[in-house]
Amino acid sequence: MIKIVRGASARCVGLLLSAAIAAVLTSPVALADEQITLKVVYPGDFEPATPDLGLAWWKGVIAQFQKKHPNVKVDVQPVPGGFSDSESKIALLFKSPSTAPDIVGLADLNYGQWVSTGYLLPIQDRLATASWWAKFNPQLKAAETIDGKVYGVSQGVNVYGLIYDKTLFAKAGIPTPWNPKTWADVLDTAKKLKSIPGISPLWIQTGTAQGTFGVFAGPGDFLAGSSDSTIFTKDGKWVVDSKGIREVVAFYKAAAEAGVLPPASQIMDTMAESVPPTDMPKHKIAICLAGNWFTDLWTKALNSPYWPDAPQDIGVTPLPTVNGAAPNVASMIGGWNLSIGSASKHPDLAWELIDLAQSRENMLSNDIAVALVPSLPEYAKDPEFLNVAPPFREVFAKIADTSEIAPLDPNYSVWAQGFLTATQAVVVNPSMSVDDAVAQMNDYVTNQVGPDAVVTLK
Amino acid sequence: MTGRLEAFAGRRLPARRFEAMSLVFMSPAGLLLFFLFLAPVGYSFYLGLTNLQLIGPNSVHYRFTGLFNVRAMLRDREFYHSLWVTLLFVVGSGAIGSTIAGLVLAMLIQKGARALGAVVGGVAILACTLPPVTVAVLWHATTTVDGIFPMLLGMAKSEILYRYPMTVVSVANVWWLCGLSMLMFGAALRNISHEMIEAAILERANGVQRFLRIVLPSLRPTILTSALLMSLLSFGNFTLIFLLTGGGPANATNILPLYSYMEGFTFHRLAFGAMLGNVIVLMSAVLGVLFVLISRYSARRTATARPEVEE
Repeated sequence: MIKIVRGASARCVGLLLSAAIAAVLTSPVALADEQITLKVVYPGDFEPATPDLGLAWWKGVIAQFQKKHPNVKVDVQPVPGGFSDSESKIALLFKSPSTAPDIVGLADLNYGQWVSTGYLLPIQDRLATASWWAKFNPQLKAAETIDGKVYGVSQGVNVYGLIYDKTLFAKAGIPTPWNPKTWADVLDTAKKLKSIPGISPLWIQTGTAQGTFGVFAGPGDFLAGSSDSTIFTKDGKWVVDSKGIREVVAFYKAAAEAGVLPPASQIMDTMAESVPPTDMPKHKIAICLAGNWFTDLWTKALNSPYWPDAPQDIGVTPLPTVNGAAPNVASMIGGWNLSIGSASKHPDLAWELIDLAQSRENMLSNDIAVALVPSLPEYAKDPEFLNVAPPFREVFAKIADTSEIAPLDPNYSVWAQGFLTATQAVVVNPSMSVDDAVAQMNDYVTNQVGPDAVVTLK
Repeated sequence: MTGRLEAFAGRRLPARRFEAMSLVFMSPAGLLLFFLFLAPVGYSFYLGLTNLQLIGPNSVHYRFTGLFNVRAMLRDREFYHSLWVTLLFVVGSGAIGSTIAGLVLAMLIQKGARALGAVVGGVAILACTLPPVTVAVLWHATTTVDGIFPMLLGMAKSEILYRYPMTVVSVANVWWLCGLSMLMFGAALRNISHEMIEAAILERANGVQRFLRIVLPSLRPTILTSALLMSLLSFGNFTLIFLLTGGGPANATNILPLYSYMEGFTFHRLAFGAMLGNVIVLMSAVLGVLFVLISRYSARRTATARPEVEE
């Protein structure tokens, strides 16, 4: 009797136990189905003009998103460091599935390289249904399409132009507004400003410390306005010697010889672009080749303390082409893209978040945090956008219409390093000839990519 | 006495037995060494023979390419230039520069007033304990426009950091390391036998002769140790050069660790950077082995020397 009861009760206990184990094992899976986490990664220190505002913008967009999807958790991770460092860090995050982001913010300077990794999801089919893609800046659209596929959408772009201190110009007796027509005009005006002691007449950047961004911030803009701005030919060769390259190197050499440049250590520093926004309010720089976000940094919306006299004291004009050829605007264009990770488990949700981020109010509010020119030309005419930093934003938006993009090939960083080496060489040593500096660039790039991948354009 | 000699020759001592328990006690260190050093270095050796990229078509799908990277490295002009710059930096600034600076400092402190010696010694040791970032910031500030050195040399508006990058970087490295060298020589100088010095003074030997014939030979093991240690430390001094010149105007200060970083993280060619890293590991290993051999040689010399002196 006891044995039967024991056997029965043992079997009952056994059944109960297995049922309990089954319930425990399956319920986490059931819970996991409901708890979805999206990971958003972006360069937290380098991308936004003010890191705190950049993070606040993301949190705002995520709050809007979570109203529609309350069970989705969005984890936003700003990546610290400068341009090169944040790119390296993001590349390392992609290596492991547990850290790979669902949505990633990347500069489009290395867009081609990122696309070739296979880390980014092609989204051209989804874009066909997006209302804002149709009105996108056509140059940007073309830049982001590789073989008919699009891997990232631009939130906005940065361009470069000349900003100048009207008070210093008045001191030197130069009439304003100033509209230089050629590079020689720029250099002559800088030489006249040399008469004022203790200031830097012409602030332009160079130096290998900044990588591809260094080209965008200085020599690349000049090259875009030179007689031959080709960097990468259609048959896949890097241009290591051309009329355009020589003109840019000659300009840097002439500026260094005339003594109108700031100290080399200042312009070759890794964080060089942080100097003008703080030094111009102190009237220490007369002319500066500035990114459009420099002027945004002086507004109340972006910075505290800010510089209320900026619109009266500072003028803005596009960098001219070398000899004044139409349309007489020289700038490279570089923006920030949003992409979906190719290994993402929730691409539809990620796409929804990106679509939301690209809506009119969100894109415009992002342009305040990140100080960009919006990717849709019609947004750039929006009074809300322009009123943040009049009259600068209007001029920079016009520059964006005619700017040049960087090549999409993975070896761009090598060419960039070579170009920066050449311009840096004549700044550090103005007695070096243009031939020698260009020969340095030629040697450097040829050494890294091989003689079959380089070409000299006459 | 006979017992001591035989003990030294090792004949009468019982043969060494292998203790199994020693393996257990050594295993934590062994495992750490394996997982944190041997395995990563081995993996890096393998990666140096692939075509891995950080960002690019080969960042996910990379393959073993055999000796391709080795051939590319041997064809690379910048590699030989970097090797040369590394040797200049490590041997010139590390081995020779800081050893001499340390020896001079130690000798001067020995001869000088107590208080002054304490202050100078303290400052040198403080410089040695500063993090490389601080040293780099300091030397950047003092060698660029309006810095102390340009002003002292009478060219206040020029940037001696960019005109003589190798010199500035070498001097900064010597400045940073001489405290350590000074400590080693200070201890070694105190161990030189006073009787010999006094005997030499009685024989009317002048300062130079005393230095060359008595002090320097006694200091030989310390000089070798210091030179090798400073070389190893200079070899690893990536931070200082990276922050001061980033590889120097036109690669003038592009020592191998910096070139490896540039190839890996600026050009995103991780495999080639790893290959250069393998060269660094080999060079450091050679230096390390030299170090061990020299210390064993000098230890054996002092061990055999003592019975002779007493006899």
